[in-house]
Amino acid sequence: MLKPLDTKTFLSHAREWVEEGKQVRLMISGSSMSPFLIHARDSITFSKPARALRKGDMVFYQRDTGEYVMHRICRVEQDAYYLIGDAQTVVEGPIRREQIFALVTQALRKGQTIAPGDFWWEFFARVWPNIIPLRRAIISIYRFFLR
Amino acid sequence: MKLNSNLILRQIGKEYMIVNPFSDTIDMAQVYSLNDSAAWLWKQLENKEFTVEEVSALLCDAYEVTPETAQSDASELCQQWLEAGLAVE
Repeated sequence: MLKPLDTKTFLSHAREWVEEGKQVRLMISGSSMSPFLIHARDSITFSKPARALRKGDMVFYQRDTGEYVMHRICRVEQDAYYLIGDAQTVVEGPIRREQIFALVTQALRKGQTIAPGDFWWEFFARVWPNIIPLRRAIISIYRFFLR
Repeated sequence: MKLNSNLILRQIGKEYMIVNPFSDTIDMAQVYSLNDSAAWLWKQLENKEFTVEEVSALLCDAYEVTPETAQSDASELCQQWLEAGLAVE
């Protein structure tokens, strides 16, 4: 009789709550933001963007197909945003500004809150979007040492 | 027991969900969806003290169920609501 909401249903309402000025907290589902954010381990908090969006920001947007996605901005042109998951090497875009409805403001990663100013936050915001062609190599080296 | 007065039932489309409209942060882990009968019960129980027996009686009156089924459903539902913080003792 009582069940938690599934992520898809939750996200379809999250946009409305964000518009009302609330912060929303959500568990990560999917692997596109690894190795920064891991499925079912980490969570994020997001709200209506209070400043101009820029490269390195993690944002929620709605695709024209209706899906809700959280990825990172890797390039901004005039009202055209290009996005990519931290685990990905293929860029998606252009995404229009009105498709983007929330900015991720902090994350709970391995049980610790991380926010702008923290090492890993800045690394994935500033360095990672600049080395897209090297990602596969870095991730495989990382996995090799993790074994 | 009674319903947690910080929570409201919201109907969005065909769905019912319980949210805390006073909180600045809406946590997905604390948002629940209710099926039609649970949502109906929620509306009956708003702003009053109630017992499992009263919930059971409501179910019996509204749905064609045996008193045993109603009693067991009511008991399970109250237990779940208490555990999830939707209701308080």
